[in-house]
Amino acid sequence: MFNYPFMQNAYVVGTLIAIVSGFIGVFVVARSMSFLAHVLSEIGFAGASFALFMGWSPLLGMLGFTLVSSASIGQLDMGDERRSESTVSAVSSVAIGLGIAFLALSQKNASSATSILFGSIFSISHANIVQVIILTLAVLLVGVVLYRPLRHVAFDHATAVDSLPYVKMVDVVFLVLMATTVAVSAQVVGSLLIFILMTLPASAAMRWGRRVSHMIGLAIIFALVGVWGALALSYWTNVPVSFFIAMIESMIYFASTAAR
Amino acid sequence: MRILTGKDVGIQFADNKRWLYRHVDFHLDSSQILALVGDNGVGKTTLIRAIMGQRALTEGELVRDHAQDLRIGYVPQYHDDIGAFPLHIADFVGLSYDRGLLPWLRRSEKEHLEHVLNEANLTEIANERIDRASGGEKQRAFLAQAMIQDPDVLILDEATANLDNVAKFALMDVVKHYRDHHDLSVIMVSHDLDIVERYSDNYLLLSPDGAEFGPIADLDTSKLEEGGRDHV
Ligand SMILES: Nc1ncnc2c1ncn2[C@@H]1O[C@H](COP(=O)(O)OP(=O)(O)OP(=O)(O)O)[C@@H](O)[C@H]1O
Ligand SMILES: [Mg+2]
Repeated sequence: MFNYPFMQNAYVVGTLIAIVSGFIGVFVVARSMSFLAHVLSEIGFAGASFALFMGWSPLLGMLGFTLVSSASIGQLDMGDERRSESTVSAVSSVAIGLGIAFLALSQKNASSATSILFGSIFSISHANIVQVIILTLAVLLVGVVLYRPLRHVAFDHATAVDSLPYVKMVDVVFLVLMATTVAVSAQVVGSLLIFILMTLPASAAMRWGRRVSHMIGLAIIFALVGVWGALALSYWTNVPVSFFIAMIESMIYFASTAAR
Repeated sequence: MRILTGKDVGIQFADNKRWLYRHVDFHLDSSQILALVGDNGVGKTTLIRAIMGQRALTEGELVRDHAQDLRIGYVPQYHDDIGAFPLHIADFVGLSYDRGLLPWLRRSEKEHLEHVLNEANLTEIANERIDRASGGEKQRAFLAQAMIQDPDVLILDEATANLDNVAKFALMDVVKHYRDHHDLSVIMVSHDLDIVERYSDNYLLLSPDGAEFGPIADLDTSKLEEGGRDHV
């Protein structure tokens, strides 16, 4: 199956996305922001539909919308999920509504809607591949450089706010990393299933890992196993990749709940 | 050596114009332990936030006599968002190495971490999970975490509040050990008069009708009945 360029592309893109989602996912779960990640992906859905409507690349539309909204979330100081759940639900409704409207207006066929919602890794264009590679490498680079502050903020916010003088900036950078990760991950799993790469592998890893670095390593492994396995299964069966990733990651997660 | 001086400090909330207290004077010297006492809601945590530069005073001033960049280590009163993850105590304490670009700990940091854990009597349980640690062990871990950055002033906000008689003295002995072996002053908020009388040098009693500051021997415990001995 590796003789086909579309499979090679799928594996390259899938691998990068699995690594970046596992890595950022650990911080997302540690800060209990999975819900926010999900809403960002719904906003990304609106962005992708808007891009289709305008005739742009869906990835860029998605990225634009998630980045703008994550920056405004940072400004509004809504990073704390508990205070803002209702606001976030309202935003999510607006996003999905807009997404549906733009899809209808763009008069594209149902398959473009499906690929936004459920991912389209096999039909990813060359330009998109380059974008995904640049974005994932950028997220990884910033994530590694800011690893220490990100780790403190995510795992012990109460003391990080007193210990780090620029904690607000770390928060905003984190939201931007999360938004970018959401946008690129949606290329594989679609905007409806963002949980399966950003939340499930990290949540499973956080039951086994006893150090932050172990948690990140395991999350990446779990995400890779899901993506690699799903790509192969999907190739043989013609059932969508997202389905297999969802099944594999959920299985890993449920097996991990036995870990404590 | 004088570390911190509070001159005629007053704090009022902007929204309801209520004064918490006014004309509060106190100072903190190096290697001293200052007990901050007063009834629930009198504004102890609020004063601490001001000392840490997280909120402004309404009147008066806080002078950092020691140095402009006074390093403050803080063990907060509420610390409820941890314990959800099975991190080892050593890794949890090490979260405080949050400066620098290197993702992993340098050799010198590893040695320093071991030293801090040892001082907090955490070496034996360094590889136990923080979410399963007892209340006393958790508090010692929080304390160690605050000590990682080698602060000039350590602030404890009711660190012993939920500890039994053994654990609270174990914790305070660690604080005292740090004070004796490092260049460290301590401000501790406590409702526990046993602890306050045994460990502190000075006290600052806050109340809405004025504050009192002096050596601990002068503390009139009857003024603290409401939040005092029966609190434990
Ligand atoms: N931002 C704020 N605006 C208005 N009132 C506030 C604000 N923050 C705190 N308060 C009030 O100030 C008072 C003092 O609060 P603070 O937390 O400093 O008390 P405390 O002495 O630490 O009490 P405890 O012993 O219960 O911890 C309380 O009555 C609280 O309701
Ligand atoms: Mg308080």
